[in-house]
Amino acid sequence: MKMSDTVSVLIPLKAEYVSVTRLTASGIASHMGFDFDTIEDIKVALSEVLSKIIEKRLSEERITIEFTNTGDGLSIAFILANQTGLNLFDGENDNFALAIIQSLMDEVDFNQNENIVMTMTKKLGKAV
Amino acid sequence: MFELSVENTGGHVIHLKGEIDIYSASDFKERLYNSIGEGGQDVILDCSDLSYIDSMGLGILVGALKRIKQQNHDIVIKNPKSTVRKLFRITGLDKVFIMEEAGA
Repeated sequence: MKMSDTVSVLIPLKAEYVSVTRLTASGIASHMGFDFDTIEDIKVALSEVLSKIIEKRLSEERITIEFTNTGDGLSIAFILANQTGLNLFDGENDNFALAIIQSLMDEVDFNQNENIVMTMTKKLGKAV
Repeated sequence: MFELSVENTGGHVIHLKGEIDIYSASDFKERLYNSIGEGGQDVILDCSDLSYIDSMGLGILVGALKRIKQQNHDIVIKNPKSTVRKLFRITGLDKVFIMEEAGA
């Protein structure tokens, strides 16, 4: 996967497809040269975000997960239409999920625009 | 894919296998709570074959621990893989549960 290349995965917002995206993330991260432990971290963080979106039913039926090689790392964007201002982690039981994501990823940004719920980035060569 | 099996030789040992995520969480919760009953004894959760658990699964474990603690018993997390152990550490749950490594 070359710099600036993007791979998009469009899945139904259903729990059974979370494991499919974990496999996709694993393949892309492996191809970019991340080590085993870091790939596991990325898979865990990805699952946490998707689980929260499914749990809160933020959208209609499908979500796009966009993987981008930024040159120095992997950026993952979660794209749904018209989701401005929504907070995935405002429930009392969401603290575990947010702690896990922020610990395992290097950058986490929410609501960059009305269609991007969240973006998270893992840098190459920065294992937790 | 997730499996839970109970070993009834002496102590109460529950083997967890596979992945616990949003897809398997409700099944995990039901089977775990059925297995521990009223929490009348210590429970050893053998995590040797547990490849993945998410925050939802950890929340279920905390709920089970609360139930068992009411009876003055504990849950032991036995032989977690490094990836699973890391999640207990990040969430601080390694200080809440009794963590037991292989050979300990």
